[in-house]
Amino acid sequence: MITCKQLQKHYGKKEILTDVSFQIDEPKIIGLIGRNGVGKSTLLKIIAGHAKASKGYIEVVGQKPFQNLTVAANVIFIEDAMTFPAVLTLKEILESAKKFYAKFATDLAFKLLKFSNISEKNYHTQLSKGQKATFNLIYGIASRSAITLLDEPMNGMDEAIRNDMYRVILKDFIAYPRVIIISSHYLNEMEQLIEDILLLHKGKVALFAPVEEVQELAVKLVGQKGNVEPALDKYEVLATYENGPIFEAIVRKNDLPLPENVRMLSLSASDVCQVLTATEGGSIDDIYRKSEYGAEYL
Amino acid sequence: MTSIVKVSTARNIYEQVKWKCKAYSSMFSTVLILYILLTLLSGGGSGSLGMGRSFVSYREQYYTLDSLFIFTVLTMFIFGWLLASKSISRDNFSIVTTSYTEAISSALFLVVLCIFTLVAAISTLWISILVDILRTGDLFIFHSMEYSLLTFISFTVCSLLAASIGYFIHVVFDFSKIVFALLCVGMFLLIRQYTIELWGILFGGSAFQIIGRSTIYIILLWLLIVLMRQRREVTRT
Repeated sequence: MITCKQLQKHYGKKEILTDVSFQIDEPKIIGLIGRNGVGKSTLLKIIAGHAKASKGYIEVVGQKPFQNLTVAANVIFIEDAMTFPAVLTLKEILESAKKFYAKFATDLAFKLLKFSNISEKNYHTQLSKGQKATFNLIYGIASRSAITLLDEPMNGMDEAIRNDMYRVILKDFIAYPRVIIISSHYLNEMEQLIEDILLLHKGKVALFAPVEEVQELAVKLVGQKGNVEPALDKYEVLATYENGPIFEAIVRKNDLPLPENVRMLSLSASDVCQVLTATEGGSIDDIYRKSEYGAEYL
Repeated sequence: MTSIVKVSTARNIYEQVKWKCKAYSSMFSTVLILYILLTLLSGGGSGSLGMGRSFVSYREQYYTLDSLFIFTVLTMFIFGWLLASKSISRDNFSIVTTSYTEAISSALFLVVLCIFTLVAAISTLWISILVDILRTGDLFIFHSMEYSLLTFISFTVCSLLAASIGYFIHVVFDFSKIVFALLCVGMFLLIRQYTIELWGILFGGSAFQIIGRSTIYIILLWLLIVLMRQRREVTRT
């Protein structure tokens, strides 16, 4: 359904995506993860046909996506900035959607809108930030497009509605399996929902694997510095933290026996992704430790 | 399991035109309100041809669409400009569209809007005549009416040309600020050099020539619009 090979995108001299390659063949929910500015939204825009790749190969539903009507009819791209005509009520927007999205579930959209306590008589411009995000997400899910792209769909929603919306995504996916790509900073919340993680780092795909595999990639070793540090030679160290007497090291998991007086803690996929995309400048602790004003801040 | 939806370009454009008529219905109501106000304030663009009091007291009055026509051209230019603006065109990407179908459906929407303005202009003219009769209490004797299909078509085509120019200029503005500046300078020089001869060269002398050449200009403008829009990436911010 989606094939990307050595995809590149730059705006002027600024390189956003440098080498993105992946393939999605079957319906699944995928979490698109990466630091701010890494190119998540740009990648989604390219898949949706809203932006053109500078180099490389991309195929969506068997066609090149940029300005392609077949792709537009099979892909819905939901983002914060999505707007609707100011004179149309939410009811009119949902009713007219069926004319464009062949599988649009109008009844479901109205039910979800009612559940979310958003009046169908409202205008999109009258909605709060959270309500806009909720409506946009309902619109995207109800479209039942073969490929649903959700760019930070939960931004502005309160925790309760976020949880409800995660269930909506899951339930609707079970009822109508399709490719759903969710770009979000709330990976912890999404871990139960997504099957695969597509991790972008420095304009490239750093990782594209099932959530369970990502969770198994690394572990945290915790103990006294004197106990943990000597054992690190046997591991690939991804990050270290020092909090007073406690020393923590995040390392790639291997089958070696655990050193004495060292505890091994498993990590969430979110933690693993954070470590894999950590900046090269070290941690915040390092900044405070090295700062000439460190004492003042500490 | 999901299946791939096939969509016909013609069907998509047709649905988009219908959607735009609904989504931008405020343009229709704006035209109507402005026309009613303008015709009422200007007395329907009426003028007196003469009057007599010796045998019977009579007043000869004419009503014309001239002032409404000039107003329509300006209004349609502004509507064309507005329709191409980012704030409006980004709304169009909440439905299934591409830059190509968006441009074509916008052109067809403007055709509908131009036909509506013609009907609105004639209707408001008749309303103003009716108001005039009721106000003066005169006995109205209809003398002649110089309406022709050619007049209607000219009115529609000229207003469509104005709308297309407005849309085109905005697309050029989005496409390249340098080209936009050059276009503005060119248009300024053209307007400054305006003469009847220049008008004749551009549009010809007869109604047929005006309609024909305006139609060619409209087609050329929309071809350029489609070409420029095809290269543009979609931005919703």
